Amino acid sequence: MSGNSILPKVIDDATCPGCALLCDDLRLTIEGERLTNVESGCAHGRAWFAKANIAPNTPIRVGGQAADLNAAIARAAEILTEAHAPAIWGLAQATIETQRVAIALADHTGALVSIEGQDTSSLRAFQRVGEISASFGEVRDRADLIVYDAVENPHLPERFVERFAMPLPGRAIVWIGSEEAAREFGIEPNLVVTPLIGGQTSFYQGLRAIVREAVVDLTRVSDACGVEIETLTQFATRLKEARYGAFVRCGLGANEVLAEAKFKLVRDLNSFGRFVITHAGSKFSNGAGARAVLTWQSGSAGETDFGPGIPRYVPCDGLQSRLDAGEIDALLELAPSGQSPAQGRSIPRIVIRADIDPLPDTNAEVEIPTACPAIDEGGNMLRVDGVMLPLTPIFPGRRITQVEVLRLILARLQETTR
Amino acid sequence: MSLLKIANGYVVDPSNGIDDVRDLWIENGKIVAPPNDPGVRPDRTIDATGDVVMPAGVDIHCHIAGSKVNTARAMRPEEVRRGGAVNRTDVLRSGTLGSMPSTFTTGAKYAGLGYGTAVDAAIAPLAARQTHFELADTPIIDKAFLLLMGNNHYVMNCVRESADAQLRSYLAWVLNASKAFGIKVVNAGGVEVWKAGKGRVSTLDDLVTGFDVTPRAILTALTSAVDDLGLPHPVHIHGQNLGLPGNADSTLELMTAIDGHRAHLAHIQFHSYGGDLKTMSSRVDVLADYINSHDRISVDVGQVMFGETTSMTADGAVGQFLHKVTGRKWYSHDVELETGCGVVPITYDNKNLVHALQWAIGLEWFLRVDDPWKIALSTDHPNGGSFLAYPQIIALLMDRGLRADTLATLPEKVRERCPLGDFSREYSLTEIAIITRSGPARLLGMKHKGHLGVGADADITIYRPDADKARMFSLPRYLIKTGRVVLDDGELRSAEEGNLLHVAPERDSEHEQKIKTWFNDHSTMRFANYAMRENEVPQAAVVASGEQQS
Ligand code: SF4
Ligand SMILES: [Zn+2]
Repeated sequence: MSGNSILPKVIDDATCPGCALLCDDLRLTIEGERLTNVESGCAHGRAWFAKANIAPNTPIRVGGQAADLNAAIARAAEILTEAHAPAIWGLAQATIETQRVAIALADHTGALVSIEGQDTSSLRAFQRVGEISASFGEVRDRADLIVYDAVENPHLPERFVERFAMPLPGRAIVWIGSEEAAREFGIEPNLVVTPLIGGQTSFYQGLRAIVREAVVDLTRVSDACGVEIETLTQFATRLKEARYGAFVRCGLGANEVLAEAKFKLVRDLNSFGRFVITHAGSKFSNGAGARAVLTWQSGSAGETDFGPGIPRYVPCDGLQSRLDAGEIDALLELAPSGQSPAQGRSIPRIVIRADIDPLPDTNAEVEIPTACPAIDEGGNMLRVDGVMLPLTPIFPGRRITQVEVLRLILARLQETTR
Repeated sequence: MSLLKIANGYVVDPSNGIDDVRDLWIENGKIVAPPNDPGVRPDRTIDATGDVVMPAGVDIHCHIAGSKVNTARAMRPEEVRRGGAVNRTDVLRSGTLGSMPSTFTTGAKYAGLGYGTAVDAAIAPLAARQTHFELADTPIIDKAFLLLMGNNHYVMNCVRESADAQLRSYLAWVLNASKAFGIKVVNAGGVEVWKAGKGRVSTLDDLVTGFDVTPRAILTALTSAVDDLGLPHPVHIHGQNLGLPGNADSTLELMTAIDGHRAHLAHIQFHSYGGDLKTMSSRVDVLADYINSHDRISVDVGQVMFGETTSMTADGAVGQFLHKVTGRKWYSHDVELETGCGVVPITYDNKNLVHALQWAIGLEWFLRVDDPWKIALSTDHPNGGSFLAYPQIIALLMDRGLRADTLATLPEKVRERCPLGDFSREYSLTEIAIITRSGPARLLGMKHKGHLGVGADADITIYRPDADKARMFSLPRYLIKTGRVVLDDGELRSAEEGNLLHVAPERDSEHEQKIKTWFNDHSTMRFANYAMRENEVPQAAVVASGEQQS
């Protein structure tokens, strides 16, 4: 500790926005203006919090030149006013508070809203058949069978197992995916089933048929999914015999039909014991929150166009296709990554992002670096299983926040409308 | 602050026994006495000559927020599309309709019906935080919500140990922490049993696996605890066997079991059936007799209206049952330590005997309960239908001809199995005012709502009399909310956020340490992150708890 007598400050039960698990049991130690220790978090979470000490202090820019906040707000408002078809993109790592104002801004400007990293295939499958789910505590406390769905680009947050799925006597673990991947994530399964990537739909549809004792050509299923008949039937029996099974999806739904096959299998397993399907969560800390806010404000959970003066769900005519068609003429981006779906296009972009990583020039017309949730911005985020958690900022008030910036833009727009 | 006068209206204010032409004066959001000085000029006068003036409506039981409602919105784009959308205006955000309107639309549509307050009847404590955000985006009306406690593990542990003081402390803590208004019980213990995959609970004396308690014990402990805490609203109960033919016996047993306590039984229509799947019939007679002869129990109806809607309940088993019966999509979500949740689309079809019976049985309830103060209008929105159907229900209650006409279009067997056609009773305006505002406000213990006496919240609706009662009640001329003219001669003028009403019973800090330890051992979130923080609910307003009520 330095010579002055500032006592270290400890924040207990801090929420980590390092990924969608939002672990809220971290202990942070702060000495003066520095975060000096992070306990309980995983390596990724600790690395994430370590950025609290970096503070790149990227300047506000308008047209590539350093500018003051007022000028940036004015220019952003001007771009949005002049646009005929603006869009707002990102949101998946912003707080609920920011998301609420962002959707208000979309409503006001008639923008298309698109949430970064959304699993639209799963959303559409959910809209067709529903979903049988549970909060993670149910999985932790009840599951006697945990099935990891990890065939394609699996992603399992580091603390998922530790927090919700510890191996226990009487709890069987099945890994659907490759043995190497299971090892990589430190899972020691009782059974590994490895369907072909392209054979997954047949695999789940076949399992469902076996479970329901429907007429099914097992040879065809086996050929299509690359899993032996015996393994298929054994696995089906195991699924049926579970008292409380949990099917944990690790990664995005590759396509709607496959996602639907999984939802239906899990649903129908509830005719035997209990079975739920959950998602282990992605790197987008508050993608679930973005979807929830958009849904309660607009009635629509997916890409939504406020252009007609009403919210319109446009599942087949979203941001990417409109960008490709040249129909979007301004983009407001709310994502810390600096990656843009409109990179290289000649439309004005407004980037409002948590200034956490030093980024190369974003080439945006307006760039407003802001505070970062959980570091110098409070607010709330929604865990993937529907549990909302508050953030406890380490350095509150240090920089202007995203929600404040959006409010200023909205206020400016409302002034000009009057 | 400006002074508003509503002049010369026909004032229907049953709580104060008023049913005549008079003026009302409003200042600072409250009803005030007429000024002594006849020279005082109001800043604005609304001429209500020939109009009917009532307190604004109070909905005692609906589902308008929280993860269950919101996930239902996300799951049903086809229903959102069917319902249509509402354009953004200078005062109101855009939104969508259907059986689960988006938040801004929900607030505006309640206001548009002349309602000033709505209570969401089923929020899991773990979902309280999201609920507050949704309700903050639900403008104009005042809002409150009830916490699901009938399958809560801590509660059931207390019941098993007969730890009454501990139970009271827990309820006091959770109500304060989540800024909720009251306690709801959904299928006591039965949701836990279903979640655990142990089948169904169908009687009050079945055992809740893992907890060694019975639904009866849970119900009696909670009703006593709520009375002891002096909460303004008694325990709000969703009984057993919802929607199942033959369930009236268990409903009667439930009424008997809580005898002597205050209690409110929700959507009673869904719990009033005799017979079996083939012979289902009305048993309102016995149940309404019980209500008529007991003073501490009230009901809301949960009226079914024909058309498309969405069923949603904390009773997970009901979701599964409806999915099996209808084959439609099913969302279920188990909430750790607390509750379940089931959502299934449903179409009430007037050619379907069961649905037609449900419609008739609901109306029979309104007509059989002698004292309108004991029965509140609800559709269990959106379960039986949308709150937007309230004017049509009012019309059915006020006009026996309309009832007979509708009944005649239903399957023949309805008339054999439900005596609705035998009732000639027609509701008066006063009785309508009671079941839609004064009664619910009184049952909720909201002393400042549901009446127009001096000191009451100036939540006032002005209707233009119309022979077409459905039209009259769907198009109020004015809504004054907290003294502000929100609906001005049919035009929506503003959509500011209303209050979030909650209780704040006295806490027991010593016991809270135990709760904290238990919570941290069992929840997947930390105790420190559970309670709503300072300033997170800026519109929060406390409704005082009273004396011990038992
Ligand atoms: S698992 Fe995710 S939320 Fe938890 S500590 Fe690691 S990065 Fe943070
Ligand atoms: Zn209900």
